Amino acid sequence: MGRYVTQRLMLAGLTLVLVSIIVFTLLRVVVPLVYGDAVDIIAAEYGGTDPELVQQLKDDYGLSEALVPQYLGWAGSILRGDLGESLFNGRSVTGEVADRLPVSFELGLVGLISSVLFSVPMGVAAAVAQNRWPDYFLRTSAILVDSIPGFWLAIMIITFGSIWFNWAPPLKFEYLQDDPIAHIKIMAMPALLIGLTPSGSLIRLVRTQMLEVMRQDYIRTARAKGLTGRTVVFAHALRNALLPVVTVIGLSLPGLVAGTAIFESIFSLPGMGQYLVSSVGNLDYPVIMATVFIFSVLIVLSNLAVDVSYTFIDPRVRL
Amino acid sequence: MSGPNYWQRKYTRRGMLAKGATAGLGTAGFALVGCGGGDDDEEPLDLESIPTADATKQQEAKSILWPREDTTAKATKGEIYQAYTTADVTNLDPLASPSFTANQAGSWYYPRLLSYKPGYKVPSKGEVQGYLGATWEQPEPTRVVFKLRPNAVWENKAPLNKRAIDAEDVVFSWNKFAAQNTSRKDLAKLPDNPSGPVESVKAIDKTTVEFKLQYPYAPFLSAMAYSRYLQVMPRESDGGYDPRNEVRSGGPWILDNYQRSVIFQYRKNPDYWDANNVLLNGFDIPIIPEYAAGLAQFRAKKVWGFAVRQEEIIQVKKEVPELALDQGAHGRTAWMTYFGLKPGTPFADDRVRRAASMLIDRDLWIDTFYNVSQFRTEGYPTDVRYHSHISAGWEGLWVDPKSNDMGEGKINFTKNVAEAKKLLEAAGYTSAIESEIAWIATGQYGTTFPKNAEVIKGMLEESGLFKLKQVNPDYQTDYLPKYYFAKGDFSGIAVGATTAYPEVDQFLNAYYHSKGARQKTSFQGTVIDQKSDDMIDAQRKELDAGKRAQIIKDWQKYTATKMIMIPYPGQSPAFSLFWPWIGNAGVFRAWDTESGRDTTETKLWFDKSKYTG
Repeated sequence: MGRYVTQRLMLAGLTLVLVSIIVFTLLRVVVPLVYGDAVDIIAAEYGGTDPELVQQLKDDYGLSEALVPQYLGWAGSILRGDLGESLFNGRSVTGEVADRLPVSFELGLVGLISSVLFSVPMGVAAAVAQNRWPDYFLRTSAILVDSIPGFWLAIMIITFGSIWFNWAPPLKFEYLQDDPIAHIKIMAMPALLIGLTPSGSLIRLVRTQMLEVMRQDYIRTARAKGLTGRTVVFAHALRNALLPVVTVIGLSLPGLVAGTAIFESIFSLPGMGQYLVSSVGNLDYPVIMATVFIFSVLIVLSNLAVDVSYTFIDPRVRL
Repeated sequence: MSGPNYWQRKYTRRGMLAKGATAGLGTAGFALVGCGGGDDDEEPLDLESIPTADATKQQEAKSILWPREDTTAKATKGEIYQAYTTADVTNLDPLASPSFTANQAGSWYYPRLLSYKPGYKVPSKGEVQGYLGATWEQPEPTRVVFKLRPNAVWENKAPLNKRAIDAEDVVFSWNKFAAQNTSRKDLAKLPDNPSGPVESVKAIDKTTVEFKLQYPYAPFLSAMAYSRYLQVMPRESDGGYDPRNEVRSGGPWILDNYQRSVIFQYRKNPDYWDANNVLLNGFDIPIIPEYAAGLAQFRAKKVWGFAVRQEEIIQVKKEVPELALDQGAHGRTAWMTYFGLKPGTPFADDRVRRAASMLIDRDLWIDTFYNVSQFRTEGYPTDVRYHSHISAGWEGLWVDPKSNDMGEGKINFTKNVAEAKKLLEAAGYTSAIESEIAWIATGQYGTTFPKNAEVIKGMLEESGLFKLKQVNPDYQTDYLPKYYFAKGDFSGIAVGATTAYPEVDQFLNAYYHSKGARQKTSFQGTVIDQKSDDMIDAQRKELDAGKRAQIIKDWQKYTATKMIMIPYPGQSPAFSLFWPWIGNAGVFRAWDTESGRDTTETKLWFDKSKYTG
């Protein structure tokens, strides 16, 4: 497995180089052609398109060089752990990411864990009770959960929470290390809501996989041996049914982390989503390139983690 | 809302939504109202004809309004005010940031030479009073000398450590403003802005600073009070600390904590020269970008005031009767519909622009967005005004477009489809003019703005005289460079916001003068209205207030005949809701909100006896 992981890591490195080239090309070549340059935007904000001002800004922001040296400089900085500085406030992107990524990651991870803890038992229950009322109820609930956008539910909860219970979520963010109780109070609601989003699909996926596995010969054999239903379901069926579920879960983590922007906005959380959205509005290249690159790293690592996890879930898989 | 307003009834009846002309406005309310025939000759709405509530109801409504009681005598010091804002700042340097958000934040901690005198229970008149500049004199029309407060010091934080604020700080700040600020061309005489009024600034001694003007500039003192111009920063901000991310206060508040995307926390500056008269200990200002989330926080009493939309004011007040309801003054911003003016475009012809203006049903638009008819029915006071080419809020300067004082331009502010048709035919357009209409659909101008623009588009198209394709450019990458700052070099029509200048000259000069920083009235010098330019120049140099007002009035009358831009239809003073434990709320009224940190926020206090949170 060590060799496989090494190979995958090397491939991941190559993927990230390609991603970095694509991201750089898109932002420094394509976007300026289609929309204009960040310095044009800044110059416009200063009330003019004076070529001298534009050139001065380009010099200030290190955008005057040819593209290849710019790319190499940026890539080299990333290798040194320096993600650059925001064009608009000069703050270190590395510092901002260090503050914000844990928030988004925690939201995504807790959301995912809650989603799994909720969906897997529901999916199993639906499969075990196939075509009976618990199954109908759970399937209908899954479709309902799938249909309701999480951000809408968040707004409804906040709105009616304030009207009926005089309740609103906390306004001041506290980090876990500073005030764990306050932190949990702040993060619990958005994390659970984020977790709700993929839950509908997961319930249905678990149910389908369980039904398929439950029809296998070895399940029939297990029952014939006189094993209890509980042992058959949890010890034999579930483990095999989870293989594709793990794939979906693993691959959804980066999406959950990257997709927290709207929840961060509703609950005033200092995460990566808000950071990326505001930098896109300003065409703040260093921030956009860094955040997109970080999300790419997350996706690549998640893929790797999913593949490696197969060996633990299914002993037949040899890497 | 208790029911659909006139605009909703009318436009539903006409099938506007079905045509897609007001896409995005559809709500359940639209679908519920009745249907029936309609035609384009239907009379425009007349808000004056809407019956008001009877005297008893009016009295009841009036008694609900916040009494604006001055409670300073019984005020207790301390506590943190719970406010909110909707966005982060780009950075914390008000003189060098590319965005006005830095000026808004800077107004908390960097002082200005002057400040606006607040109104006492009535709107401020925009007169100035001392701030960092204790006194000033104008020994000659082109020279203004400020004497700084001798006891003004910077915050007790390295590298300033309570250093006295001196004239060199002012000179440093002016030089930085003139070199880097987005509004520098409004004030500074520069190689690329030779008409800027301020020629130079120099320190006479430690506490005396002199401004040399290149001509007598009537609004100069007001400009020195404006938070988006000269905020005074310490010299040490050039290398001694990073002003984009750190603050050294010289005003009443220090920035104690700024957690990006989460909260600003301002605290009373103990070294402020007038600290004894600051009642609160500070302000917590969480960032709440979502309207619904903000309203929920407001209802839950976690923020003490909130900009509840006008169409929801009555409903929220009924649901939470203990909320205080106050009515503001007329605002002084007039947003606008403006035109691409390339040669050959239909809009280069003033007859086409005037025709477009005649298609706007102003009363209907105002009723839609200010909820006037419902407020009237409920007995609340309303005062509907049309904007001329300056905002209806410029008391003493504004010419009422509905009155005969507007002269021959009055007709252009009245809905008249038949007359518009004639104008277009005279201009050679016998069929619908096909063009684009652009506005930003994102939130930079607030959540109501896209709806404002959609209704204008709907009104222009309703007559069949215009056929407009909607374009929603990106604010930063498309709208600002290609429309807002494009000097008319675009196709079609654009709807946009304007800066809320505190002095009308700055507005006229920025937007209407052919050399203005944000001018929209000329295309690369080929469409210049010299008469308009001359009048704008004349008023800024006229030191006699009466004569100056007359020039500004004459300019409005003249511009109304040209309709170089179509101003926003109009307004009615907005209502606001807040919790009643804000002592002195509404008593000391700022000229503009962000310039009142030293005059109004310092006088607020927490009335614990009314607190129910």
